[in-house]
Amino acid sequence: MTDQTADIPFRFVSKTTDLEPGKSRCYPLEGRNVLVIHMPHGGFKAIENLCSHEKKSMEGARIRAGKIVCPHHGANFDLETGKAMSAPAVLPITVYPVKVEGEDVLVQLIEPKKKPGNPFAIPGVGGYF
Amino acid sequence: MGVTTRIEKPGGTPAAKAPEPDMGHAVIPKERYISPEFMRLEWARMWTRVWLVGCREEEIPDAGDYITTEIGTESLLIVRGEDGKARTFYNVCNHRGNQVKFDQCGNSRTLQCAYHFWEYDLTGRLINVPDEQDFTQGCPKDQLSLKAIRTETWGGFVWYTLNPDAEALRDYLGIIPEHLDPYEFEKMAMVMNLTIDWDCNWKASVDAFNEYYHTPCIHPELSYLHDDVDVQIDLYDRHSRYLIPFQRPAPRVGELQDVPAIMAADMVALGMEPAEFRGRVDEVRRAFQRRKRETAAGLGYDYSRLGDDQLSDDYHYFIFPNITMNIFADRLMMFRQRPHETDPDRMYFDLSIMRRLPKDEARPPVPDHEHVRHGERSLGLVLDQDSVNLPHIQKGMHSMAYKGLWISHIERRIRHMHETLMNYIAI
Repeated sequence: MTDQTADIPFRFVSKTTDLEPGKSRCYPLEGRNVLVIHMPHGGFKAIENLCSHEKKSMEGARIRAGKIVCPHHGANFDLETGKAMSAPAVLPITVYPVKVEGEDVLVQLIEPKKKPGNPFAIPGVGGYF
Repeated sequence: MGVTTRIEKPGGTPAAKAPEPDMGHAVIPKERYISPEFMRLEWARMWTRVWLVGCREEEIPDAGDYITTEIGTESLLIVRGEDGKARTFYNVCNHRGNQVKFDQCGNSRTLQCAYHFWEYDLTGRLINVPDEQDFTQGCPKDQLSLKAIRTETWGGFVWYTLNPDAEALRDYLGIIPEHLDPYEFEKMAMVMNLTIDWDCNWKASVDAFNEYYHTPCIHPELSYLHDDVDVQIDLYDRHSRYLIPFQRPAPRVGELQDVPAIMAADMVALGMEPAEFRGRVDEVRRAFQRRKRETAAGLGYDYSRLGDDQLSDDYHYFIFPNITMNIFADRLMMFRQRPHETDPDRMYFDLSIMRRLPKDEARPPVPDHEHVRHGERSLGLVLDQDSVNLPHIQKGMHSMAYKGLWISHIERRIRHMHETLMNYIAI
């Protein structure tokens, strides 16, 4: 975590009792859509509620082995790193750092990951392509 | 949005639709992708009989410049001679079978084997055998010179064929020079040269770029940049193409109020103001073409041989058996698929990018060649999306449940490629 993200405050997003284990719900918070996930074996995760493939909501998605499975086309994302683990997604999602204080779930709204402006741009080659 | 009227430049790339051959609907057997026996047939009857791209001419600009390239089990040496001609040789010393050059590229006045220093000139002729008198049987130069391979050039590329009886390159290429000479590839400069090891059959990779059925599924963002519905497919003798309108969203995104960011970026690069564009979003493409024409001279570009559509669209050509060209007015993104030496489940994907040079810009030095495994580096979003399925396709094809490719009409370039391939295999 960089110094910049360390300065971002944790915000209240939900109560731990709002969600059964294995369930997720989307909460609007400061202009973002935050998907709070109660992990099946305990603990909470939070992500930007936007699949990196078609930018669809993943509310209600299945959670398996530390991954969220997009309900639309089955893309998997690691909930620790946000990394895309299966097609059709290749780009990561944004994972928000989470803290639980008492019954409060708090998230830190770090900057969401952006898609590259030019989808054909290849790292290492200047300009288009 | 309707069907595009494609605007052709007299003397430029023809845009007319080619007649559709009747190719039937048969399942394409999966064995062509996974069978070692079929792989051997491909080598014996196809790879050793077609014309293939060896390198860019600009990779060997001066006398003595050479590159090595592999196709199947063969290593080849492409060399620029004192007379300016590019020649290709089997990269093997006729003494004890050592490869004459091991490195990817270099320059030398003669071609000397690193083992016992047998030496060949740049035309491949054996010129020096240390202690030659000790070969009591003699060292006949005509027998022991490097074995030459037929070599010709087109489009700034050096082409070779392992088939001594092959037709001339221009005859092999068919419509390609007439269609693509207007782009003047020979004047472009290579800015990227990368090889990636992919765990799939070379044809699975060719197929991935010969159909756009997958586009809305795995490249959803491209719906805002190109119209992948109104695509013209043309199937020729061996080769094929599709013409994809860019700078016009696909109909599925509906009527847009604003120019999408992905299109706006290209407009801004031409000095256009997307926010001030008066007209429907699907009219941007024509405005973009006009702007490109108007600004060409000031930027040092000459598009006089290109039709208006070629200023915005992807003229996407497949040259049998293994060259895919994404061609835009200012750039060529080229893919070359090469089979693995022995394993039908593996291949080499060569990605190179060529850029049109403005009038006063000197040709830059060629980029260093990079060789990576799939996943070691990003190839950009679109190619990362294209490649993610490939190893899984290869594994899936091995399933006892899978029989072969069930091809749709918009995937017919795949069927056409297989027809051409089987014409070689059948002989």
